[in-house]
Amino acid sequence: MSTETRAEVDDHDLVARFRLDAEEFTAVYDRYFREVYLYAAGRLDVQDGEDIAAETFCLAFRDRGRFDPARGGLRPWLFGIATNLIARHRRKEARHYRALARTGAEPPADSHEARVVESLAARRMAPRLAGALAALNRGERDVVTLVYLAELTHQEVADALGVSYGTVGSRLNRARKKIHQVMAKEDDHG
Amino acid sequence: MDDLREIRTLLAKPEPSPEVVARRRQQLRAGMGGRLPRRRARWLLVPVAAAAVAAAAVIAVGRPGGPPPAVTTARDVLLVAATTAERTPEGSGTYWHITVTVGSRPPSEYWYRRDGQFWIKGKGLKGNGKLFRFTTKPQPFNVGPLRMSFDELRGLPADEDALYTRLRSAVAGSGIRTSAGAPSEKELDGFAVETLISLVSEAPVTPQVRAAAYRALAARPGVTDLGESGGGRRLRVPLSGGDREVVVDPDTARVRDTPVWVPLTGGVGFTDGEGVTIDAEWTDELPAE
Repeated sequence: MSTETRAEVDDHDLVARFRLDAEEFTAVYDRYFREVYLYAAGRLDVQDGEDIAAETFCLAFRDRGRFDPARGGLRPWLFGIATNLIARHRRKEARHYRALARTGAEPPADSHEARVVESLAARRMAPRLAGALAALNRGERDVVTLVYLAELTHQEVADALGVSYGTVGSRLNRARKKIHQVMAKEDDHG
Repeated sequence: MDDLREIRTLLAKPEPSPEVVARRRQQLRAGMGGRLPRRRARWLLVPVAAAAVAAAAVIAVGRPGGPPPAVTTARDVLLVAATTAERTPEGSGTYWHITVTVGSRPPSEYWYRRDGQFWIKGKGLKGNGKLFRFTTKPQPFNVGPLRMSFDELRGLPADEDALYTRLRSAVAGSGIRTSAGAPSEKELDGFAVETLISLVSEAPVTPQVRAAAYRALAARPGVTDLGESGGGRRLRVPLSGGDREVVVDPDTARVRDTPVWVPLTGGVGFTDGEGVTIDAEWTDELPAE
């Protein structure tokens, strides 16, 4: 619950602290749980998202000795773990996107979600975009959701997935092309 | 235009609730327990299964061949504690100063201001023995699974039935989830009992509300007396995760040398060895940083 330090202590310091004192690892949770939760819940649903986010931090704690700052920051490391966990639910994720394609954005679960459907344009486009996400392969979907849902930088995505910076760009281009194709096709059919 | 940006809107989900964040944090800490040095491990929450085994072992040991147990019921113990609580003057001050002592080790101390900001001091805590300002933002107090402001805590009813009704319905309306999904009625009862234990463990409530919490506990089914201990009377209480042992000292109306308590920092506290004693008082003094 070290809420006040969240902004001030940078990752470097967090790592130094939990290396000295394992109990300090909860500060990593305090800083990143929310982000990882929203990422996993966005790709699956809130229930699986919650489970995956929680498991991410348990695994990260277990493997904290293997964390190497030279290979990227805490953020990509955690998102990499979460992304691997999400991969186990590939079918469910595709079902989720297809369901969104049928219904558009999900019905607001509570007031927080009122902002979800912001513009009419987005509302019209949402079902087709969701349908297109279902058409991506795993690698493309990982890159697209890490960049656009989790808002990681290309370098962070490369670190998270253990691929080169160039690969992130090429996967993203491929995904964009596919998405536009799928969406255009739907336009033709009406 | 980069229309893929709409993905964020399309897949947006509500923020995780504070209950989810607290519960999953507790889960992480529980998982950390086994791997940490013993000095710390005692402090951490043990997994529910292990705690259940420990509690079962305590209950099963009993006193074969010993003197017959005195005819004391949990109800008697708790009603005496209620009377003591009511008669103990509250004092006054700026900080609610809680001292948590495990066995004979140096205590951990907490100073809470009414707006929920707090300072901690103790070996093995943040700040490593020096005063550490934990939060600089006003925030509610954790009362078992509930989060309440100081004013809400002070506004709790001093009548035990009204108090229990208020807490039980707050628990039911709080949207808590357990790992198995929505909690059962029995688990909700257990969470409500946790809020009562919180009020007698650490929470800055009036003597009247503390007394009402003891009386409400006395009225709960399933609270039973397990006999004398060094700190007071061992009571078995039904919490959300199953029956647990809490030691109450009727002479001071405090939990004393207890294996289980409900701290203001959230969750349920367990120890696996020496018991925990809690003292709390108002003070105007904050130690030097």
